[in-house]
Amino acid sequence: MTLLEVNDLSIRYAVDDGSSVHATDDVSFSVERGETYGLVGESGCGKTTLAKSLVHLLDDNGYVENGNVWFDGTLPQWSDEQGDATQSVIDDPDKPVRADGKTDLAALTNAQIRDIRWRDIAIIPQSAMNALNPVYKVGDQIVEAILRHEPETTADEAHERARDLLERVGIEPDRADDYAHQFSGGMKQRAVIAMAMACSPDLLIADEPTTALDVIIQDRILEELEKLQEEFGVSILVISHDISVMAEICDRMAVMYGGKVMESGPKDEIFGETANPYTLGLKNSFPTITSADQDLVSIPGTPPTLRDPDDGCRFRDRCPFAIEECHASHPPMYDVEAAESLGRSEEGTDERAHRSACYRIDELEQLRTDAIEESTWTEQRIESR
Amino acid sequence: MATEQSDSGQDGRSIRRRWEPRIERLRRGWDRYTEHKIGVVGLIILIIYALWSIAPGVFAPHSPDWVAYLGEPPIKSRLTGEQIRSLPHPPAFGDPFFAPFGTNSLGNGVLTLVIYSAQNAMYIGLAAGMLSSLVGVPLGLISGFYGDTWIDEAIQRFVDIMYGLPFLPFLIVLVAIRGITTTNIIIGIAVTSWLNNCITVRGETLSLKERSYVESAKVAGASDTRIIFRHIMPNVLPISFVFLAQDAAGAVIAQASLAYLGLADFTANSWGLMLENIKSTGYVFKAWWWLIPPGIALMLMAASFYFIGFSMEDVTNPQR
Amino acid sequence: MTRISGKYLAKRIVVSYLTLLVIMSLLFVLLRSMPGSFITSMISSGMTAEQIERIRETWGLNEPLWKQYVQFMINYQTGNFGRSPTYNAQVWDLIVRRMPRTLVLFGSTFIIGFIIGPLVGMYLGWWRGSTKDKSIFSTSLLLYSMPSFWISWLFIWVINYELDWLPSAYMFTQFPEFEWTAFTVMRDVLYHIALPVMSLTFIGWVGSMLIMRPTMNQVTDEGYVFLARAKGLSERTVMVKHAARNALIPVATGAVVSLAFLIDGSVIIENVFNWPGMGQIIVSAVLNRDFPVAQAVFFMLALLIVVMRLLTDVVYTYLDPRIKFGEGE
Repeated sequence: MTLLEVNDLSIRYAVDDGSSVHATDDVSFSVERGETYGLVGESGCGKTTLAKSLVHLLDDNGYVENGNVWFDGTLPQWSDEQGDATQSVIDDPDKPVRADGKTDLAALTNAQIRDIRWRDIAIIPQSAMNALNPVYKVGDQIVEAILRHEPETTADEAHERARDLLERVGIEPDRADDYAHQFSGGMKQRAVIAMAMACSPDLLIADEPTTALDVIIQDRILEELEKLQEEFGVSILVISHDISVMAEICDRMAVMYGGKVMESGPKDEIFGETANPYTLGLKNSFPTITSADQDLVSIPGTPPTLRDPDDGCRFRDRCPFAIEECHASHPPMYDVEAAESLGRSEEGTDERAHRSACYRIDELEQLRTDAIEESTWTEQRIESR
Repeated sequence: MATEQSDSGQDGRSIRRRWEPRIERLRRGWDRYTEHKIGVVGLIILIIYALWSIAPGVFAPHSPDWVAYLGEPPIKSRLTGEQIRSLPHPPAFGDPFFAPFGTNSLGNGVLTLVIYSAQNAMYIGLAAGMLSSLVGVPLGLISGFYGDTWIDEAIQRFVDIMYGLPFLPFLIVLVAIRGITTTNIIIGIAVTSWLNNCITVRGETLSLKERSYVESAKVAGASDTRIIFRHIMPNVLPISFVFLAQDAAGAVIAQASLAYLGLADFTANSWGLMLENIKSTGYVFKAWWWLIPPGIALMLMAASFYFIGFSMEDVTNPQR
Repeated sequence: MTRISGKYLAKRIVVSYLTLLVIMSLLFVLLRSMPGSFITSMISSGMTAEQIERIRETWGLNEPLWKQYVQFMINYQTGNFGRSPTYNAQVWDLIVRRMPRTLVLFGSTFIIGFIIGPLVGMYLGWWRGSTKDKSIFSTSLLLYSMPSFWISWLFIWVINYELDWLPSAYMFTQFPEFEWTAFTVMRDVLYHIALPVMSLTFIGWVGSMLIMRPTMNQVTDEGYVFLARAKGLSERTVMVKHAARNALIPVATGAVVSLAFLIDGSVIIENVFNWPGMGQIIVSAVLNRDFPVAQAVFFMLALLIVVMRLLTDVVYTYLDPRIKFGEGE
């Protein structure tokens, strides 16, 4: 069952001079209940913005230009005992709830989204190490979240739950009375994860959960997330620039570049039958455990600035395979499987299938072979093409 | 690249190359400064005051020795009893004389005195501000650079002692020792107001010291003086300009407070002295035209320094 | 506070004591380097040399300066502040009478200023860059630029002279028609203190606001503020409980600086409003070379500052659990 369905979401940042930064452009993806979905891409590709926008946590100058965020869950006052939207709410044309009971989070007011935050969608921020308030006890900060969304809980119960949560992520329950500065980096990270589970949300957004941690702790955190997913059945939306993290924990994923989804689909297909030049390049630049003596090749150039971008493919300036067509317009998401058998055809509509935004989707074999060559990814090659 | 001998043409180019980024930085700083309306307003006010200080005669309707009814010096006649009783005279525009802000109890034009006093306030503000920066910044640099050594400890203890002395009464003692002149007032203010500069610069230096480029300079064998002046001071200077502006404002107000307590330099026109005169002659609540203008002038000068200081603080704040 | 170790506290007290000693020595030297002496005012032209000599003898001025200094330091250790030549009274009595009056005036401005300042700073820092922030901030800088005596005059002029709502001088009604009970005295003091406190806090709150505003603005970018929002807390809770609580920490340190500002202010204000406190006599004591009184008032003010700095440390540890004084120092 689909938990989250993001449709054509475009987010802009207003700039002083009147132009706008297209942080994401018509991004669509969907997350099933209980699965782990990954958003991968270089920094500045819009993945964090996308995640923040789901629960209206953008910076002041950011806004949603168009698109919907359909979420299987609704406000407490709109739901029945099972937590589903009541019929009267669905029927009410003023309320952004559609027939299958999903609510459009993008259409909620700030006051309304606060009831969704943490109760339905918890977010572990990029700088989780600094996310604990230094002046309050760690346990109290978890209690605060519980009491916010479950006011009928007594303080004692909430404290008991906080200690229990900490224990589940491998922190001594007594450490609930400690302050953040008494925790190590990995412990802080786990404490934030424990806090995220405080109200058993349906969706957990983990923004760069492992960056700034050493490799051993990284591994433990990822295990922790997987364990929690089994225990609570929570869906996880992982955001990372590290494609190897994705390989480890995702079920499905989307590769983002310059505010656009370049390739999306089941993880195995993306890694096994990569269908986009950008993903090919990204794979080259990260070490894999399987091929030990692999040369790392990075994609030359820098990501685009995204300030009032033109119509062409976002990746074309760094793409060694760009053709005339790429300059005219950004390619639609083609269904990879369909393209293999039928050649380049219509845009794939199934968001869960393996899709890729590339005009040369019908020449995949050639692209894959060329992409392995280091010489493909030199600047001269790209400029002279 | 620096070891190669080069002809003058290349020299010129390399100088340009060296300075271009700095000019560019300055320009960007200026752009950011002008984003702040109060900064621009402060600058405009200060420019007006600067003009008043340079050429008060151009702006003032009279000379400071002008006397109501009698006119400009040399004055031969004396005021009649009735004329004296009409002083301080409220604003008058031609009948019986022209004094847009009225006169004081001696018959001098208030507007004229306000304009002629700008020079004194400007002098006190800038001189005291610079002096206290000259004391506070180097001490803060040294204290921070030698953090946690006896040098730092000694300077910090000294600062502690100075903080224990109430500013204004201490200032009175200092001024009284050396006699009440504008110069001594400036020195007194500087002696008591460098503390904040020192502490802030010390804190800044302590953190700059840990930066990698300072570390690498140290490893490369640069001397302490070179590191302090070449690598740390340029980064501290912007914030010390902010303090200079704030100290200047504080100094202008301190001069007025001293004057209120009877410690004004009676030989120089100043707004503080004007206010002291209105108090000693007992017209505080009877001659608003005499009470308000010097206070406003003083407030605007101090405010313009604050406006400039706080706008600069934003420009120098690397966080934005 | 449990987080300040006894050893650290003891060390701080010793250092503060030494600081006070140095301050007193410094003042002894400075006061005596002022030209003139208080006996100038006691000597009339008809006095014989012998009479003058006797006056000098009585006030101990014939002793060598170092002996005077040693005597002075010993006296202060035993709480003997000497006798004032101009007030012709024991300085200790003078201080005991005037200190509480100054503390009442000073304390109430300090407290009110430290409630308004951080509160306004919190809002301005949170909404930094908004039109409201810009206009309130520039207005407060204008207030901060006013000489305290001048703004007091304006207040007196309007509220006392024109409207006659509040008294403009003294601490008590001079010839009261009411009976002196604890209640009427308190009411009377409140009635008299209103205008001076109003005048001083009108400009005095700005100091703590100036510290609070930028730090408040900095903490808005902190991860814990983001997380607090992500938890679904209301903007108000995020601002007050998470952001402002952290931004208050530097304000505690800045309190000492604001303290100096307020002491200056109360010296002036006491003079403007004829408030019979210490600020009123320190100026005349210095100008009349009444060294015993000047010394004693300086001492009490320095003591106030030193004690406030100690208190600041306590508040600091309370506000910031990361600080542990006395461990690893």
